Formats: sequence, C-alpha cells, structure tokens
Amino acid sequence: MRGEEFYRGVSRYLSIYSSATGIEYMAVVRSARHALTRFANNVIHQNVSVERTTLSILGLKDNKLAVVSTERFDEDGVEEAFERLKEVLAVSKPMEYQFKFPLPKMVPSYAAYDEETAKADPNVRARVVKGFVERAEKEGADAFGYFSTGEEEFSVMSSNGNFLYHLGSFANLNLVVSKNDGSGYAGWAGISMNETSFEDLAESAVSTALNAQNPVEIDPGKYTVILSPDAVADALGFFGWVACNGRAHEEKTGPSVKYLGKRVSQLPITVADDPAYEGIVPVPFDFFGHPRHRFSLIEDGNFARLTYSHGAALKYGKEPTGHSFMLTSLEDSFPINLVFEPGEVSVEEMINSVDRGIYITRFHYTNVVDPMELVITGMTRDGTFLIEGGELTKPIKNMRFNFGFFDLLKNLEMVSRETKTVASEYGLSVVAPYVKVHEFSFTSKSDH
Amino acid sequence: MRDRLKEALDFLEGSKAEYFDVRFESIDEEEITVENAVVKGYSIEQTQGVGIKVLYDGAWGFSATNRLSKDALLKAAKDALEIAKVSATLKKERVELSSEKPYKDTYRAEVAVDPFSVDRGKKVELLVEATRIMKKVSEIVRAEGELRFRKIKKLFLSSEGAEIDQEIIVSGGAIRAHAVGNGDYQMRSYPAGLEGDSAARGWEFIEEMKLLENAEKTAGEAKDLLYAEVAPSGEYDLVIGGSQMALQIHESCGHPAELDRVMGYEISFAGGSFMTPEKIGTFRYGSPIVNITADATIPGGLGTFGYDDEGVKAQKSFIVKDGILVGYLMSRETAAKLGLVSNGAARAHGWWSIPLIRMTNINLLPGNASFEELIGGVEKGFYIDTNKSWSIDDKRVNFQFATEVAYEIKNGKLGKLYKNFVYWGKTPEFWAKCDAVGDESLWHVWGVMNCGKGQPMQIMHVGHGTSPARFRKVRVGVKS
Repeated sequence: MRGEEFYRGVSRYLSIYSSATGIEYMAVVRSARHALTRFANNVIHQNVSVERTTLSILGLKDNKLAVVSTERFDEDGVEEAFERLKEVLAVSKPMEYQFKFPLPKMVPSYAAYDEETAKADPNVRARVVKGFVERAEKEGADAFGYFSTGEEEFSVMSSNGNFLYHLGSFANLNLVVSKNDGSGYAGWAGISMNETSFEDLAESAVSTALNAQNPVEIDPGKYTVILSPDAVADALGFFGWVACNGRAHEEKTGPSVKYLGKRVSQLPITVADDPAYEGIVPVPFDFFGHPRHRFSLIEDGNFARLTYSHGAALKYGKEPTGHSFMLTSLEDSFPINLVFEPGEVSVEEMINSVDRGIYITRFHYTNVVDPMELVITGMTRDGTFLIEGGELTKPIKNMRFNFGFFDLLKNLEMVSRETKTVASEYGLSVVAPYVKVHEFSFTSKSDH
Repeated sequence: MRDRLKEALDFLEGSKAEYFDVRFESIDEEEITVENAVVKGYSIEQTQGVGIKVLYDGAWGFSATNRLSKDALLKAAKDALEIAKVSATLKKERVELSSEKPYKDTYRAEVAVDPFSVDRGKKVELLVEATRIMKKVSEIVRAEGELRFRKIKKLFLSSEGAEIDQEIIVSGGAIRAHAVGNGDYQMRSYPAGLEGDSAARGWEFIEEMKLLENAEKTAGEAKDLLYAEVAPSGEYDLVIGGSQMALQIHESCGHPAELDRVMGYEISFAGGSFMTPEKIGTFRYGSPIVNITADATIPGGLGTFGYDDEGVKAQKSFIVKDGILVGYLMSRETAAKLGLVSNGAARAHGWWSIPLIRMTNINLLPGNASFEELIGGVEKGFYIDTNKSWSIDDKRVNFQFATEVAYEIKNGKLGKLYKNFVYWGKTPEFWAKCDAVGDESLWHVWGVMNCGKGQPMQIMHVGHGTSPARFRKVRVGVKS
C-alpha cells in the first residue's frame, strides 16, 4: 500500500491547484490490492491479483459541480485534472440548491486491519481452497467458489481542510458443494482470516449438499419458512437501498412513504447500520468525511429513520447521516454495514416450532418487482428443505418466491440468537440471524 | 508502451511458461447526468493499466497493475507467473488452448462523429432540454437524462506472436420520467430501461435516438401509468417489444450459452446452465422459427470488436438454428475441452480483469411479420415493452420478468394501458411458444451496458439484435 504520507502529498497538490483555479473540491483516493482465487469442479480455474489506485475529485465553482477521475497522482496529473474540471464546470449548470462542502469533523476509528490477511499470498489462499476441495472429494462431491484477500486504503480530503485516512484488510469467500442433484452453501466475510473456521464452513456446505440429495417437488403456495442468515442478508440489502434512501422518501418514490414511523414488526427487532459491530468490515467515514456511527433504521420493531447523503441533506434541510458513497449521484445514500440484531431463540428451537414449513439456505438472483411495497422475487438454491413436525425431513426442489419485505417483517415470528457474517457487495459484510416467517409466498417451481 | 509490454513478454520468455499474454488498455469515459434541467453529474474518467496472463504447468495466473513503469510491469509479470505455479498445485488436468492464428492487426471501430470531439455544452443542453420537456407534466417528480461515452484502446501481445491494436468507441443515453400521484409511483424510460440504449458508434447514434422528440411522450406515459389498472393474471398471448426481447435473449439464451458457465465455472455465483453439451444438435430450444446467432461483426453493435481478449478474430456463429441448440460462446480453453475452436467470446471488463466468456451481439434473426401482423394475430393478449425487473434461476430455466408498459390487445387491435405487468415461464417452453418474429424493418441491435458476471464482478457491454416477437399462452401475473 502507498501509506498515509502519499495521500498527504496528493492533498498538497490538490490544495495548490484549487487555489490556482478557484475550484473548491472534495476528493476521494482509493488504493486496493485485491487477490482472488476462484475454483470450480475441485480445481483452481482463475487466480488473480490486482493493484489499483484511483483519485476522484468533485469540483465546485459558482454552485456548479463536476467530477474528474484520474490515476495520475503527481503534480502534473493533478494539474491536468483541475484543467478538465475547469472545462467541464464551464458548460455545467448550477445546482437548484446551495451546495457546499462540509467542514472537517471528528471521525471514529475502528479496528480494521490484519496484516496476515492483507498480505496473504496465493499459497495461503490455495491452502484454504485445497481444504474445501479435499472435504468435498471425501464425499464424492465437487467444490465451487472463491476466496479473496487483500487490503484497501481510503482517503478523503477537501478544500475545507479535511484529511482522513483509513486502512483496512478484508477476506471473503463463498463455497458451493455439489453432488448429484443436491448442493450446499457457505459464505463469510471479515477483516481477518482468523475470525472464521474454514473447516466449519466446509462442513456446513458439505452436510447441506449430502442432505439435499433426491429432492422432491412440492406445490407453490404460502408456507411458514425459516430463512438462513444468507437469505436474510440478501433481503436486507434491498431494504437498505430501496427503503432507507432519504431521497426516495422526499420524492415519494419509496416504501418509506407508507411505513416510516410505523410499527413494522410485532417483534422488538432492530436493524442498524453499525460499523462498530463485531465481525463487520467497518467503514469509519463516508466520501464527504461525515463520521459513521451506529445508526438504527428499525428500532424495537419501528421503522425509525432514513439515511441522507450530503447532497440530499442540503437539498431537503436534513442532517447528513454518513451514507454518501457516490460522487456522481449526490442525493442518493445507502447503509453499508447492515446488522439485523439477534433475537432470543436458538435455530433448533425455531425449527422445532414449525409443524410444516420450509427451510431456505440461500436466495438466488433476487430483484425488486414493486419498489413501493418492496416486493422481491428470486429463487431458492443450494439446500431447500421441508420441515415436518419440527424437523427437516426431506430436501425439496427449488422454488420462486415473491414477497413484500414489509409483509415479511409483519409475519416475523422468531429471530435467532445465532447470527452469521455474510459477504455483501463492495467487499463488505452484513450480519444477520435466522428468522421464522409465516405466509411466505412461493409462486412457481423449478425442475431442480 | 509497446516496448514496455515486450519487455514483460521477454521476462516471461525465460520462465518455461507455455503461454502468456500482456494487454494494455486505456479507457476514457465521459458521463453526464441531468435531473430536472440541472446538471447533477458530469464525470470525466481516465484509466490505464496492464493485465498479464500466464499459463504455467497447465494452470493460469493473472496479475494487473496501473503502475506503468518497467519495474511495475516486470513485478506484475512475476506475480502472474508465481500465481500460475500455485494454481498448478491443484490442477486435475492441464489447461489446453484451441489453436489460433497469431494475428498482427489494427482494428478501429467506424464512427461518423467522435463523441469526444462534440462540444460539451451541446451535450448538456440536449439533456437539459429533454428533462425540461418531461418536467412540464406536473406528476413528474424527477426527469432524468443521461449520456455516456467511452473510448477503449487496447494493445494485445502474446507469446504466440499476436500483436493486436484496437480502438472501440461507445455512445449511449437514456431519458426517464419518474411520476408520483394517485397514491402510486411509476417510471417510464426511453428508448429502453436501465441505462437506455448504447452502440459502438459515435455522436450520430445519440442524434438518431431522438431524445427530445420522445421526451413528452415518455413523461405522458409515466403519468398515464399512475392511473392505469394493474395488469391481470392468467394466460395470454404476448407481443414483446424489441428492448424487452433484448433482455429475454440476454438472460435465457446469451448467458446459458456461455461455455464456461456450462462447465461449472460460474456455479458459485449466478449459477450454471441447462444447455449441457449432450444437447448440442438435438435439443429443441424453441420453435422452428427461432434462429439465434452470436455475431461480433455487426457494424455498430455494442458487442462488436475486431478481436477478443485472447486475440481471436471477431466472427458470427449460430447458437440456435431452426429452433435447435447448435453452439456456444467459447474461449480458447473451453473450446479445446470440447475439441472445438474458439469463436472469439473471451472479453475482459478492463485491464484489471481476466477475460471471461462474454456475450458479443446475441441476436434473434428477423422473421417476416410486420408489426401490424404481430398485433393482428392476437385475439386476447398484451403488447409489452421496456424491462423493469428480471430474475432467472441458477440453470437459466425458471424466469420472471416485469415490464414498464403493457397495452391490451383485443381482437387484433391495441387497447388500453396496464401497469405492473409481470410474466414468467421456463426457457425452452417459452421459446417453443414463439410463433412470429418481426421483419427486418423492425430489427434493431440493442446495447446493454451493464452485464455482470464473475467473481470479482466484471461489467461488460453487449448487444442484442432483435425485432418484436409473438409468444402464445404465456403465464402472466404473480401474487405475493
């Protein structure tokens, strides 16, 4: 990695050319070393390592905005970037509200770096993959998935004198074990490889695959379901993006219009964006340098608050919440460290409480059908089981579901005390429990 | 840069690697976003870097960097070699590559007007005016317009002696009207959903899109959707418009035809494919009028290029012929596993990515029906278009798609507008119901900018040539 001094050097060049051109700026520099080993059919078929640093500058002059991104960090490169900003700002149009950059703020610091993980070489990743493959082969099964490690530096600097720097490591993986007509899944993400047991992950995927053999077909309809943390995390991602974006609320284009401030679950559930939560891959500040602390979205069963980006906060007279992660979509925001806090029952108790229902290991290819009710469709995969008399009795073929996220919360019966940390987009993580939900709607079935 | 790439090749020459290539890419991007006549994003981006791929002892390694010094490139070459050696420790069989002529060539996509030479103010004004027109409709809370341009320069050198220099220019745009009223929110897009339409063409493509001329209609339809009835459930005949057909082809034919997916390489992410090798030549994919090609040579198609990122020349081949599955999209490695030769579909997102099998232009060849004949042949059904939501299972069989608009068809005539239209089915059953495809005059190559695949995720631009087409007795509507 390049180190904090490098970024301070970039910041000095930015100040020089900001003063020379009269362009105020907010700049984000990200530098990542990202290595990923991918395997299928028990062999490594893709093994890559990439180093990349990018500087993005949001320029502001006469209440007009423009973004220039470059990978040249020397004085000439920064000078050229400001020249381009000048050209683009000349043809841009003023914002409809007064735009200004924030003053520097104190930001929290979260433990985010593990050197062993950051510097892991291909041999380290291959050893983990070999463990997965050998465990699958022992059962006559095939392993598929990836294991990624690396490190990322992230610095925010502005013409208002802000300079923030964060260094983090990351590791994440997914594993599908497949045998005949059944498969199982395990996934994980964190800042240190030592936070998880690769053996346990392999065991979980293998045992699910073995239990998933010879699936039977059942009719679509409404069932009580137990969703695994992977499935819950998948749905939470849509909640964060579609339902929590303050801009959508102000424009009346999101489900918060109907549900904000209302009790959305009879259970006292809490869903938060929490960079301090154990196991999460934390981000301590956003692209505008706003600090990121625990921010609850659903509190004690009530849909309590929304995220506001820096731009949306200026436009709508709100406080920015630390969720601005795009320089080109200034009024959109989303939570990136989602945590669905644990409940009180065990998974075993949860399953025992179901007379007839379905256990879902994982969702596949989910998408929003109706944004106003946050209706989500997708398929089950990698281990779907019938629950009868409080036990998983037989595997079933995959089915398509269509459910409203707020219907799911309304029909929530139990939340487990066990949680898992699941890899999400952007190399980050989501913490989620198992949940029991009644009247979950399956609308069609697959052949496998 | 050529000399520096050759130094990396020279370094690997002494390594006993059986194959290696180096690929320099320089990508310039310009994106403009306007909302309600205000410029909300004007972004200029430039990236340059080198990706190095090494096959050593029958296994792959890849390393990429945007540090372009001699030392940095030699380090990347060394890293790729070391990574390949580690990959080899878990191999079951050696990777073999289908044979390929090492071309030395230059390819330049033909554009009439380089979009990077067009006055920036003119681009801004086009979007400001289009959004101003849409915003005149009082229910429109957000009128959006966007333009994007990309110039991709590539230099590919391989240990087999290939030396290929390419330049591709991409232009695209869209307008969208977000309407709120009557207790509802609806969106209408033009000329297509998501990121609109794009092509490997210049500014002339933007002018042909006629964004200004379609702004009022787009906003009006968004408003009309607020007051439209929700589409019913049941079995109906459908005439599917071109931009939705592009999505249908993309998800249910393009992706399952990727041979790496067929061979399991994507199982842990978006899944595998039902198009397994024993089906080639015998499996009925669709009705006999269904003919689908992979064609990277269509002038201006978004999936058009001179050579793929393994140095294989762009070409045309059939995936489905007379309704029968006959072929795949292939890389050199996957083609060799079936004893075939690559048809040039290995492409990388950028210098930082390893080439994967990607769609080129995947096309439903035109039939002979006029639009009036397509509609006229339906007693009770819908004309639908513009994708709004999509999902398909991990074998690419069970799908569910939603569209922005659905117009009732009654006794061969178009009728009233319905909203929230969803249709679903299983891929081969669905394509077997295709009984008419629009003629050549209705055929257009739609550009899809955001096709995602792989871990780490790569985003690729691909094309889909199609006319509107008719399908009988399709299942419509779901209840959550």
